[in-house]
Amino acid sequence: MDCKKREELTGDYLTGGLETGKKAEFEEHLNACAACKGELELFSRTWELMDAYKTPELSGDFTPSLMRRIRAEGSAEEPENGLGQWWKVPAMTLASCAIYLLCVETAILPSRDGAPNSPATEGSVTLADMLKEGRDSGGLDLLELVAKGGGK
Amino acid sequence: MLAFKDGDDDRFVELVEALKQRVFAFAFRFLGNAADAEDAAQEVFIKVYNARDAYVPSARFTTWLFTITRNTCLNLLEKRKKTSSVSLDEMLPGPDGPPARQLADSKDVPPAELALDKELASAVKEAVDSLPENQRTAVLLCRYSGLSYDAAAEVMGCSVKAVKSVLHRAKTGLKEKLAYLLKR
Repeated sequence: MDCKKREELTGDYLTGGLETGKKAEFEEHLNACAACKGELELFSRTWELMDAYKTPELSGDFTPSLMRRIRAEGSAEEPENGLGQWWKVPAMTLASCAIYLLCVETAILPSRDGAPNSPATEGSVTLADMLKEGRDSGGLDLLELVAKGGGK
Repeated sequence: MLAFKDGDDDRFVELVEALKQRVFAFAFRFLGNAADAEDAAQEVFIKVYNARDAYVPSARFTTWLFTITRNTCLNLLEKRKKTSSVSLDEMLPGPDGPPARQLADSKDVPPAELALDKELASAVKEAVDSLPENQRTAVLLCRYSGLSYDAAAEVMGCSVKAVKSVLHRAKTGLKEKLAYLLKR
């Protein structure tokens, strides 16, 4: 084994990844080559130096403060499942009603000539048109229907 | 963890007590300062608390924990880059030695260390901080957090071979950066 090969295999040697035969060859080279032996020692000493990088101790309040945060976040989320969301149901209901009315207006509501109202139908009248025209339209409009129904 | 998963909060407190220093130490070395590291550690345990139902008992808990820790630290680094509240100049070494920010924050280096070998500690910190993110993570997991290569590979989302290779590059880099200390 030459120095270049030793250099290539150093990583595997240090991480215990060399198979027995290669490991023996590697160590044999180290025993014969002072430069490579010194180089490997530098790796080991560097790794030992890493101990100098200490970390401070965590503050004693870490766990109590963590639990306070967890409880606070938990209690802040609770209303989301209760009254905090009260407006969402009516909003959905209102949206559904609006869509329903739109469908009724464009597809089901009879036009002046009695045929189903459709955007493609020439001369068809929409709810908006009827409301704009009001009683001047001359036909049986929604306002009349409502008035008649309410009078019964 | 399994007892806590069943809804036992006291067990969660025990879990935090047992692992908080390891999580904090990883975050401290990853982020470079104590305040951010403590925030990160709190965030990690809140995530663990909220994700307890997602924990699969077959997964090694420390692997799961360090995966969350690493991701939390990466997110904090991203946020820090965007806000860039700390200028690069503050992180660079001053004319007379270690970075000014390290000396300004007395919480960063324990007083005992300051008295014993402040220069050595600062030099190693600086060398570790200067490593690319994946190399620094490999060093923090394998050297400081005591994870096996298998566990580190899982946390980093790569193969064991890749971890070993990254780790060797990190060691080579550290050796070069700290050579002046070893030659004394």
